[in-house]
Parts: sequence; structure tokens; C-alpha cells
Amino acid sequence: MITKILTMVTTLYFFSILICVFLEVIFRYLLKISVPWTEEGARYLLVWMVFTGAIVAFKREENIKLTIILDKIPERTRKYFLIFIYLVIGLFNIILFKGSISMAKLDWHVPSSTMPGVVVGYLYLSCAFSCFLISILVFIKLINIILNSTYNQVESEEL
Amino acid sequence: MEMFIILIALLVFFMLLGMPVAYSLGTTSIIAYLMYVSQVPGREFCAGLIAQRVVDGVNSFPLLAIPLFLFAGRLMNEGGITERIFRLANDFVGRFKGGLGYVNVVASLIFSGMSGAAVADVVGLGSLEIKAMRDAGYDIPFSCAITGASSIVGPIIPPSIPMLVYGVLAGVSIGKLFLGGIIPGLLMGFSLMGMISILSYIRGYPVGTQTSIKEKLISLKHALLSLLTPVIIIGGIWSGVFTPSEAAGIASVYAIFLCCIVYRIVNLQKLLNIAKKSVIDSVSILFILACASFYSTILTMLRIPYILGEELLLITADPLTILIIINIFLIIIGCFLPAMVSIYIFTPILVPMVTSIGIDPIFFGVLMILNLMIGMLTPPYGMVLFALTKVSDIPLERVIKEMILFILPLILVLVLMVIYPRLVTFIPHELVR
Repeated sequence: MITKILTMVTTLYFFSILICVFLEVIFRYLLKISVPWTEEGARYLLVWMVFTGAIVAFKREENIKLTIILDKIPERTRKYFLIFIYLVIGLFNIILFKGSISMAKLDWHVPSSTMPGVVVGYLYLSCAFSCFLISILVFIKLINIILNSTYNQVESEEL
Repeated sequence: MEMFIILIALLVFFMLLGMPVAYSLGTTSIIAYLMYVSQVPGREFCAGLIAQRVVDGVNSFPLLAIPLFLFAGRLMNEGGITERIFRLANDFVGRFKGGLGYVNVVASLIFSGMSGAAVADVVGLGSLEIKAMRDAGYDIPFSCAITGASSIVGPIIPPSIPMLVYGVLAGVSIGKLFLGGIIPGLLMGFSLMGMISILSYIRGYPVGTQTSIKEKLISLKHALLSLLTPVIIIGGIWSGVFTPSEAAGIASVYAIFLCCIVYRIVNLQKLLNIAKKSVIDSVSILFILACASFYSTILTMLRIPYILGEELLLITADPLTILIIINIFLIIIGCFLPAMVSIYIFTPILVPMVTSIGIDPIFFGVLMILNLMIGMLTPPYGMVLFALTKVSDIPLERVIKEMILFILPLILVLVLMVIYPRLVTFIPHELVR
């Protein structure tokens, strides 16, 4: 359910980026007006798209990884590998979360250069939001692994 | 130097363990950062720096091109454009001995001008090409080998996702990189066709049917609107009308226009699905880039490219020798790591090193990407090779034997590039301003 909503939101960001970039060209060549916010707007949308999408990618195990060893070891050992991996990922996300919160606070009153009402802090907010949700997901996955003797986490949810 | 060895060892450890590449890069960098802070007095660990580098890594206008090009490429693959291009190529170059081989290469060359990924080309255009060749009586390993070898032209001829990633990490102009790929890409096409003509002559492959001028014109008419896509992208960037990101935006809008309104093959539901898939694909590329940007900061902080450069200069000061050493290193790396992963890891290390001895980073980028792409055709971890066996249902070993014959002409292009760097730099540096 959450994955579905987040995927929709991410796709929405994508189409907004497309519109921004398209508008930029239209404004410049057809209407001969310079609209500075399209470039910055598209960048902000991209940052939000990446960090929101990262949650989906983590949930659906779509991050690029090498599974050469993971595929060959017996199920029991794999369980410990996975626990270790998720612990490290969780730790990474907690550190990044702390960092992005402090950066967001720092930049909360710094206005973006072309968009009225938008502050630089929003960029870091996306990262904090992403790390927060991924940390929760890590926690859920860890519990699942520890409770279930077999690991079949990859969900075949429809996009 | 010890720091560098520890860093690489940690990275390899995490990645082999099966941790996603993005998190491996991020975690390794945090550990290296902690070590740096503990060794250098007066420095404090600042989590904000990590967040700043990670967010900054994707807060860049050139990167917008990645989701847009992936979307446009996928849309055209599913929207019937591949079939039109294949037919066009078939009517024009299919009549020679071993004709479908040439058709395969020419179609891939044209499609390279629209799409930026190699593996995607194998799955889309490739399955079509292999089927056509199988029906015409070609042996399948031969068909697979051509399809694979010609698909890696995709990331050399613009647009190219690997070049985008390289350009952002190395801080060089994406437009110039794109233009630099044109001559090497065409050379790759010609060298592959040369190999096909030799093999067709020896093995006596079937001769395709001659088509009339009228049929040629009809298939040209059918493909004309699709053919405009590479013209818009390459022409737009070449003339300076668009930045690569804008070209990607225009290509996406044009692809929507073609597939949904003109050809009416893709409906709204399908369009949405294509968008979702391309978004997820691009997110996994971009998220690694975010972490790689922090990793790159750490490398600079530890002065690793500088130290390595000094070590290398102790061995030799001749740029050509250094280039050959790096090439051999990359070929070996390319066999073991997916091309994209190597780009993330080695661009921040190698580019400052080679620029300090006077090698042009645009030239080096094209060279490095071609080099790593060849690795995608070789065992043990050739992504294109895996995609091919999936598409064609024949065992890996039979494809590999045939593939070696087609890797040779590609290596020839690589050697030519090392000897004559102007093959790359001519268009971006001399022809355009």
C-alpha cells in the first residue's frame, strides 16, 4: 500500500520534471521569455524524486547489488548475512537522517534563488524523510528475518 | 596509501556481501571519514557534511537527463519504433551476403541515437533481431554475438546514461562527451560489419532478398518520424540549441507524441507503467550517484587520486604508457564489475590522476566507457551476455565462443582510440567552437 502511494508520488515528480524541462525550452525559443524557476524547480523535483524513489527501491529490493555470494550460500548462513547488511544499512540511514535534519534546520530560512516561498531546507527534508522511512523498513525487515526461519522477502507487489 | 587499500577492501567486502552498491559506497565513506577525523587533529565528525554531499550529488541539472532518456528509450522500445527501424535497415542493407548481420548492426546504430542504455537495447531490439535471424537460417550463437556486440554501441553514441554519470562525477561537459562518442561509435559499427563480412564469406551465410525502390521508400516513410528522434537529440546538442537535459525532455515529449498520438500503440495505462518502470530504474542509478558524490569528497579529502598519481609517476611519466596501464586495468575490472558500478568507483579516482598528466578528460571518458562496456560482453559478469542467453534460450558457453570473434574488432577500435585521441576529441573540441 505505502509502496503503491510512494511509487505514484515518484512518478508524479517525474512528469512534473518533464513538464518543467519542456516549458523551459518552449519559453526560451517560442515565447522568448526567460523563466528562471523551471531549471531550479526541475532540480528540486529531481532530488525529491530520487529520495522518495529510494524508499520504494529499498522496499522492493531493486537497488543495484552483486548477489554472487549471497545466491550461493545456504539459507541459514544467508540469514546472518542479511541481518548484518540490514543493520549496516539502518545505521547508515540513521547517520544520514541526523545529518539531513541538521542541514535542513540550518537552511530553513535560506530562500531558493528563483522560487518564491521555497527554501533550500526542503532539499534536505526529502533526504531526512527518506532515511526516516527506510530506517523503519529496515526495522520491519529485520524482525521478519529473525522471526521467519526462511527468508522470502521479495514481494511481488504490482507496481 | 594504506587508507586507500583499507577503503577499497571495505568497499569490496560490503559489495561482495550483497549490500546494495549505494549503501556500500556510503558506509565505506563514512568509515573512512571517521578514520580521517580521528587521525587529523582539529577535525570533527559532522553528519551534516554527509547529508550535504549526498543531496548535492543529485541536485544537478544535467542529471535530469537520466530519467528522461530512460523513459524515452523504453517508450520507443515498447511503442513499435524498434520494428519500424528494423524494417528500414532490412530494406536498405539486407540484400548482401549475411545481410541480416548488417541489418542488426545498422538498426542498433540508429537506435543508439535514441536510447542511452545497452542492456535495454538487447531486450528490446535484440529479441526482434535474434528472432529474424533465426527464422532466416542463421545460427543462433552468431546472431546473439552480433546483437550483443552491437548493443554496446548504445552507450557510446549519444545519448548515453554512462556518459551522464561519468560527466557529472568528473565535472566535464556532458554535451562534449556526447559529441566525442560519435566517431568511435560509428567506427565500432563499421568494424563489426567488417567482421560480419569476413564470417559470412567463410561460412556462406544466406543472402537477403533485394527490395524494390518503392518498398524502400515505403519503409522509409514508416520510419521517418522515428528517425527524427536521433536528429533532434544529436542535432540539438551539436548546434547548441539544447542542453543534453533539454534534449532528453524534448525526446520524451516527442516519444509520447509518436507512440500515443501518431502510432497509437501505447495507451495511457501503458504510458504510466512505462514511466513507473523508468523512474524506478533511474532512481537506483541516481541514488548510487548521491552516495558516490560523498565517496568522491572523501577521496579528495584523503588526497587519494593525488597519492596514486604520484605512485604511478614513479613507474613512468609517459602518458601513453600510463594510458595503456589504465586500459588493461579497466579491461580486467570490466570483466568482474558491472560497467556502471566501475564508473561510480573509478571515475573520482582516475580522472584527477589522468588530467594531472595532461590527458583530456573527455577523451578519457569515452575510452573508459568503451572499455568497461566490452567487459559487459565477457564472462564471468557480462550483463549483456546474461540478457542474451535469457532472450535466446541457448547456453552461455556457445554465445561466449562466438562473442570472442566480435570482441576483437571492438578492441581494435579501443587501440585506435588510444593511438589517435583525435578520433574522440575532433568533434567536441575542433568542429564545435
